[in-house]
Amino acid sequence: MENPYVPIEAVIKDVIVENPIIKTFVLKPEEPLKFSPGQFIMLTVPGVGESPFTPSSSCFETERVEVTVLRQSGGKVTSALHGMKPGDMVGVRGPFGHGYPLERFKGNEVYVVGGGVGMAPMRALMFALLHEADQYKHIILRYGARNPELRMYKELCKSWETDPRVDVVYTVDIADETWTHNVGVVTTIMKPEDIQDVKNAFSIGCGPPIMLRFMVPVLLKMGFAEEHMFFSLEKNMSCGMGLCGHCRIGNLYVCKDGADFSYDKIKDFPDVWA
Amino acid sequence: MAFFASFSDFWGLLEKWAQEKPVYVVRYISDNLHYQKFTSETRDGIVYDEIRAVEPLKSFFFKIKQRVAEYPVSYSESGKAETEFIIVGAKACDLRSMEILDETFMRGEIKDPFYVERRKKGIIITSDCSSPKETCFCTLLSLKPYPEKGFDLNLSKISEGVILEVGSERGERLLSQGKELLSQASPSQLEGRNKNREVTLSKVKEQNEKFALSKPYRELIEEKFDSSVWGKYSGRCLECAACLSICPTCHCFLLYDQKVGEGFEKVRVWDFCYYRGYARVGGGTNARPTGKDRIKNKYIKKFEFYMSKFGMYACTGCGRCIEACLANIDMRQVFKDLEAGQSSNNM
Repeated sequence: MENPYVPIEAVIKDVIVENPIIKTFVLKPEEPLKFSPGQFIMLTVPGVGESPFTPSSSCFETERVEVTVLRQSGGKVTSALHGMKPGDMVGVRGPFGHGYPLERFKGNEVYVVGGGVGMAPMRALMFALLHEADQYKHIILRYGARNPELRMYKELCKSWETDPRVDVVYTVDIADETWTHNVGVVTTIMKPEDIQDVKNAFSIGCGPPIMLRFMVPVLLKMGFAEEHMFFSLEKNMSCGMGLCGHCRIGNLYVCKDGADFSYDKIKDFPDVWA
Repeated sequence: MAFFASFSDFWGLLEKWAQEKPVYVVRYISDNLHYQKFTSETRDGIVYDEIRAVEPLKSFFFKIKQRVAEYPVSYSESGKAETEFIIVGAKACDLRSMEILDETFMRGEIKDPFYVERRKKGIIITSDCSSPKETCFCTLLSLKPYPEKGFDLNLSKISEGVILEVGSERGERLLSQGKELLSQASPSQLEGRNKNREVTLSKVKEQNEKFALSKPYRELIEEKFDSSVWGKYSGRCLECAACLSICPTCHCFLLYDQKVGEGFEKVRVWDFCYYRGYARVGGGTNARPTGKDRIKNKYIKKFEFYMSKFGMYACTGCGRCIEACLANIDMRQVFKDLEAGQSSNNM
């Protein structure tokens, strides 16, 4: 029987400094890593520990997988990762979870909202959407960061501004003199006029719990159906397989049943945004 | 199919089995029953009836601490064949706990190879419970203090020896090793067994009459989600997790990595949802930051989650948690209090 606890080896090919607290690690796994956007992996820093991350790269590149990591203060794994260099080895288990239901999104407007490092999984999602952009009625991205310095994927975000396939609006909580876009939290750039057929549109949100919590009433007011509002939850996923118990809320294992849930599935759990 | 063996003949069987594989029996260590390996030193004083051992049966199948991976040399301990082993004297509640754990560890999409391997190799010989404690409440979970299915062999102690009931092919094979030691159980012997069973069953039922509820556990939890009873119990709970560590159905574990020699290993240890850091994530947020959240969470997990996912409660009524609790919290009383909408006076 296969042992799902054994990580496969992955070499760090490159380390991209996104900003002072976020780095993107380009990994070459020893065997191709097939995943769909929204699925997560368990990344092992040898001898240090293991943490869940959602790849931020395109699912069509299985031999070059990118993981964008925020260094958490006091975080053993993220601190160790931030000290790693090209050539170093990490371990990968997964992918886990079931990813976003892209098939259901097809033919409809897709409203992607990323906040902070939560933009990482949203980038993977954007790559997948844009890969067959004609399949979707409209692709809309709203991305908020704390300040211009803490934004990620700056070149890519710039290129999307002129990409006719996607409607993007960016914001930061606190601007500086270089900033030419919006100022305010991400919910301030979510407008009813962003969507034409809101009853059939889908939203996908990933960001800090407080942002997701404040997105809910805004999305509902815009007219989204609860079953069409997807959120990526961050819980303490450890085994990734629904065995260890840590990530459970209510009657769901976030690892196995998610990590993305439509709002109707999670709205009754008081600990969902904690 | 039921056989009879005198005590000395049954020893003979145990000795035959023990020549081939480890056999674990239940014996007293000071005042409590524990599993011990059957050897020439432990052949006396084996307890076939009485009550479940202190340690939960899961300890044999889901070890307190287990290395689950070594890397980077991709090596899998699960590939290592385990040898067969025999457990003698588990009770019906213990057997039920395995059914409960099977749902998590071997019925899902991804199976735990260590658990699966141990389950494959573990032969379970149960026995009828004869001395339920005050804390026993299996009948509230629709269980009986004697097993009816799922065992390899079941023992029922009667005055002159044991009745052996065959529950699987594996059990039948075990008996075939000592056919000469067995006789067909007589109708009067079986009658004696059934009478003993009735007595025990009535005792457990009777002592739990006062804990009967007007509605199923699951409904009560869903209804009383915001009850003040939770807060009152959390004020009393020491969060020591004794109830969870001795629970036969708790399956949570923690994975950690460490360096060993030139390589690394991933180790898993039992973990408990009463600990503050259990649900905390990297960013520092905690889904269950207070003791009240965590107490309630235990009940949600065992009586709501498990029922909704697997159609069974993750509780066997073994009463270990009640015995282990330093704050004298009795799960049955918690439910009664939830039902009444207040906490009892004896707090």
